[in-house]
Amino acid sequence: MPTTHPTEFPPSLERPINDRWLRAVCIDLLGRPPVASEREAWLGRPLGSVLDQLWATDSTWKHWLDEQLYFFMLIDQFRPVGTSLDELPERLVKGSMTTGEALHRIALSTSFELRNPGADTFVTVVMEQFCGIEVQSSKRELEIGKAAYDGRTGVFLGSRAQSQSDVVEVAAGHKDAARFFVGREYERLTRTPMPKRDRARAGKRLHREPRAFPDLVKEWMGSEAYAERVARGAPMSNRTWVRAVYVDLGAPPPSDGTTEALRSALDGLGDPAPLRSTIARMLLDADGTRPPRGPELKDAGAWVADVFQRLLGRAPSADEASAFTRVAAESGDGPALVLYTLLSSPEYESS
Amino acid sequence: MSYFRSASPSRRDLLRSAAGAGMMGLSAPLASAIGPIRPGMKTKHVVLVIMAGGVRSRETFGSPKQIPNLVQLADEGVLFTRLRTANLGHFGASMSIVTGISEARGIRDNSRAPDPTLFEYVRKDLGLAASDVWVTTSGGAQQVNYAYGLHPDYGQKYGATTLDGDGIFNEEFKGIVAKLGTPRPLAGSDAERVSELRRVLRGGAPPSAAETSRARVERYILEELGRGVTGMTGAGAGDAKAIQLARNLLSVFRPRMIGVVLQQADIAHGSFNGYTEVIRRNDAAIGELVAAIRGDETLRDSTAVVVLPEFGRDADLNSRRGLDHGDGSDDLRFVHGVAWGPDFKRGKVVKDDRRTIDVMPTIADLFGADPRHAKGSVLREIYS
Repeated sequence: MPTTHPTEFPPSLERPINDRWLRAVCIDLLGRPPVASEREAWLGRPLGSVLDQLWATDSTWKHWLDEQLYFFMLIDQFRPVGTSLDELPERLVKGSMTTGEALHRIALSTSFELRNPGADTFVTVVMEQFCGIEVQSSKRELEIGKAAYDGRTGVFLGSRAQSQSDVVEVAAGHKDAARFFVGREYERLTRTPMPKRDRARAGKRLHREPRAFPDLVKEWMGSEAYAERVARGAPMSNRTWVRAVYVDLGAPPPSDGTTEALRSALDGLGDPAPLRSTIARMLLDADGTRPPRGPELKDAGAWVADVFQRLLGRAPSADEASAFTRVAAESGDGPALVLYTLLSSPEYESS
Repeated sequence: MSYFRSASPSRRDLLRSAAGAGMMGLSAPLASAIGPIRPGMKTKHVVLVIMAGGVRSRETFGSPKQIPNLVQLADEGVLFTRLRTANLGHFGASMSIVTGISEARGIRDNSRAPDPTLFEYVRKDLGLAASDVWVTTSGGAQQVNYAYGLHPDYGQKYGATTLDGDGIFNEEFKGIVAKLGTPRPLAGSDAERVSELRRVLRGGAPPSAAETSRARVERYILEELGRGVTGMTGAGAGDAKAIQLARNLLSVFRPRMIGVVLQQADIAHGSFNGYTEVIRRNDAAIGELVAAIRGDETLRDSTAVVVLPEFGRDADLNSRRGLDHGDGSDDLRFVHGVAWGPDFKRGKVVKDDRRTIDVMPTIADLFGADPRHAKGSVLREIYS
């Protein structure tokens, strides 16, 4: 069973992108694999050029925003819907807002306040999630922040504060905030912790150049750490898996409502695999995501090879090609059984 | 084509398929052979209920009329009146109960602990299957992290099977299932084909224990989707779902250990009345759980139940007439807890200080497991 995939070292932004790389990059930046038109347009193009195009779309920034909302646990009943946060992706793509300003806006939202009620919870979360501070060892700052939240003046994290919004502004603009942000984003994308020195350097750069985030990501995706992530594969989050299974069955990405309902159900299991399997079977029998019948396949072998390439980012082995082609061709339900096997495989879950 | 779809399987189907039918690795029995956990002990099953969300003693044993079922458990078991907690946030404080270690965790930290949990110790030391150890929760994505930690000697392969009542059975998901149709388990030649394709994909290796366990959990989920647990609404509905799931799991799998982690008392930040309503509803649900245990011949004299909050709440109301948790008062730092079971004393009250992190080593001791990394101590005074 192939578990890792050979990749070229050193990686390069100039190298033509293949299926495996394209799938990984799209999963990490769009939160889903490429749809057919994207695959057609981007396969074989230089990685750097594909990244430039991705950062120029609302979809990439919308996924980035979704990831930030998830980081702050603004999900389920706390997910902001129909609020001013909806405009953030458009403003980010136009460059009229920076990532730091977007995070600041999130913390000023009603959803954030409802999620983190009361001075103790609110100030603790702001300190932890913006600056990476362990409050148990910074109790004095916590008490000053709580007093400021309640309207009393104090010097919180080195700056004057006397309101809830001051607490957010001070934390969001703190020098540690950029460093903490780049560290967690690097880890989210490469699935490895960022070396301390790199984190300090990238944090400084983002503090100095607040619009540099896409350039930093481009740098990271051209690094050896990201090449290793592509070679190794990385488990898909539940939200990504939901979108991936729709796209991989040839449907458009599901609506936000459907995505969140399925994501929330999957998040309810420590091991989501059993429910993922159930959902895959539901979709294989639904309009819009139902596969062709066996007799409709002109060339079952070619269909199997294409499915392996799209879903797993690799060609089937000789044994796999033989077994999967036989099942695909031998009955009407064959293609559904092939797809179900792949969609419920551990390899598919680590794209 | 509807070969993947049918009505939910009946409980009889579930039991039959899980107990005997050969498809998809469902040939193992529902639970490991049931015997006493330790020689000389009567306890075979343990239910640990963490009333997380922050619950003061004033609204529990300080207002006994609110919690008649917990009072009855205390009368028939052991009541701790001063369990010291650590204000580590809901997530960290609840995590400390299952790891037996007080350790700082971010309030919204959505990651696993570095230390092993009670569930891992029990599974590893007793050689239990995933379906023998469960956690049901009501706090969404973050709470599934209680299932296992990141310690290299333990981890996912010894983790509890975890279900969040409000997540998996959310109304929107139920609507999607209704629209698409509940799939039926694969059977006959289709199952054989999939089984063969999976074997080829594994390079000819046999299915892992995890795969077998997943197939059984999938069947259980299909069963639950057809039950009333999905339709609960109102204040504390998520907590009630978590407790009801535990009740259903006890009857279907008869697991050795179930952890139930609640969360909705935290509504107290903005609504004192909502908070007391959650406490009353949770007490009633715990009462139903215990009634189900008492009414089941095989569970009646072999099941222990332990209930405790992760911490309390502030001494005084906030400006919104709610209760926060951050004043460092005794109302916040000390909680009551109950231990009830066939090997525990009856009607004993422990008034001396104990710690919430002592509960985990005590349950591990009951199982004969060795919680090597835990910092808490075994509460030996509870044994009869």
